Amino acid sequence: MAAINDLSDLINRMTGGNSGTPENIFQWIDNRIDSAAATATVAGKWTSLWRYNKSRGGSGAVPSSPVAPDNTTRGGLLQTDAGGGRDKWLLGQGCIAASPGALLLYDRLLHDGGLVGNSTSAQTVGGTLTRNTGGEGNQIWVEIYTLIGTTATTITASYTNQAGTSGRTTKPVAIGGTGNREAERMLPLPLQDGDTGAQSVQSVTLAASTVTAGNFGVTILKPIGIAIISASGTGYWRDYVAGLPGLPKIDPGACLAAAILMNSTTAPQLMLAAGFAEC
Amino acid sequence: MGALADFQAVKNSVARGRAYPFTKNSITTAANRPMSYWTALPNAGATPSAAAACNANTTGALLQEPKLSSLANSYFLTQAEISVATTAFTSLMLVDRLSHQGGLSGASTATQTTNLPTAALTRYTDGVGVMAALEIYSALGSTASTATISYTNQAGVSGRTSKPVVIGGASDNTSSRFIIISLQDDDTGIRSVESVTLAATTASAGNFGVTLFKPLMIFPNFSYVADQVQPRTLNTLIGGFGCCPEIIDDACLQLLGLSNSTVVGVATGAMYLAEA
Repeated sequence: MAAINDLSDLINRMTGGNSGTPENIFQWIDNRIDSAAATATVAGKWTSLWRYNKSRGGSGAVPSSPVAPDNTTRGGLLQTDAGGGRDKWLLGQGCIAASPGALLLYDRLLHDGGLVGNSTSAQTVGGTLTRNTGGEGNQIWVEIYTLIGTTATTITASYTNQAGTSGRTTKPVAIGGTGNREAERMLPLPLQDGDTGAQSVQSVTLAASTVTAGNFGVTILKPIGIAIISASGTGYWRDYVAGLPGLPKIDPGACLAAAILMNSTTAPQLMLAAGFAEC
Repeated sequence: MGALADFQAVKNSVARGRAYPFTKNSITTAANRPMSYWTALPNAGATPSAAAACNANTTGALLQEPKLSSLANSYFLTQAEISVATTAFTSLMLVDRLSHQGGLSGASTATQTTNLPTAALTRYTDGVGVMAALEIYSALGSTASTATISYTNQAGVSGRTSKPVVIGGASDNTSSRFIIISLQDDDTGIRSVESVTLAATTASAGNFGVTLFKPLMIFPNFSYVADQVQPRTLNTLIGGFGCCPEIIDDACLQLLGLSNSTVVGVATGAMYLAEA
């Protein structure tokens, strides 16, 4: 694996020297999904920005089967892969936003949809990772695409952990009912004790029906970085250069996407930015 | 064009260069919405009518002395000192204003082609990463509607249709509002805009236009305590967001603002460019 030698090497590469191929991406994310306003957010809950309208790539599609999205899949940042056998490094990321919260930038490794909120049977997920296949650090999230029911219940996932052990079960997480049923809601599922990642998810099971089918899915993701938008009209810089040599390496084909832990009920508009260089 | 060889080269270049000071007066428009400093004094940009490409000599552009035209080498934004005098939470964005036009109406539901298509890009001509906005010059009506644009994308494919954006009504009808467009799925940029269509009238014609621009840098959190100016010195190489943007020849630089108040304050500062 190549390494950036020092700050001078990095400066040279981020200004185009030594095949650094700098790439500075800006993506305006509007609080609308196609022709409709996005569902109001819920304070203290995660909202997926996957399907929000964007100035770059457009709106992410709702998956109907387990798929491993990549850097050409709309909904993500659509950064290019490094060339010439080089690695791609994230130098920093930031945003300015109209609503406060905490923004998570992540690699969307696998997603699935078409699961329902009114079944207590084990619902099959499946699929195969194409990045970070060992599973270390991967997280399992539920992502709601169409409103599910008003009855609160819990959900668990059966998965294979980072050691390749199948039949592991997440801790139950609340799903359904106000705050846990709306479109774009994302619900992280804590892993079974002792586990540090996931290679795959075999199925999910609701403890009881939420009463309405709706449509939800499972997303396996690997967090890249998180930062705080302290108030409306503010934003952040998440600088990795000052923390050399701790630059995040971006895997070839990474599907970089964003979710936001909202601090208000106003669906956010924001300008997301990310800077990369190759080495 | 060249690259900066190392950190010493940055220091040398900044040391032998000079600051580009700038000031833009406050603007009043809508809270929690992007707004344009284009028509703010001093050196206020004019309200465009016919489609025109913007450059470093266009009135309204930042960094006027010396002008950023006929550059022989590469220039990178490496340091900035900025303050925003306001009582609100405020962030800024630096963009290269590529092309603009005006004279569109908020009271028409016809496909509007007045002063369109937009002028051909003279920078970032492939359109990759180029964004479009509807920039309001005179207040539109109080009825909220949506607008779409028909455009040619970064691959040269015409007839692409944007996602609808809200225009008109409170927060989206005031002068200096800068309504950024979401593109049709799979597109990553724009070469030109051919027409604009409103779904319904906003009930007042006003005056708005299409602006094509390329974002260069975001500057978050320039005022975050009420009644205080927050001066900042920024190093885009260390402590920035990892972006050391190149300011290409003839760039027409301008600021956008985002505030939780209807007023974006006086923006004052200086930018330092390193020559490679």
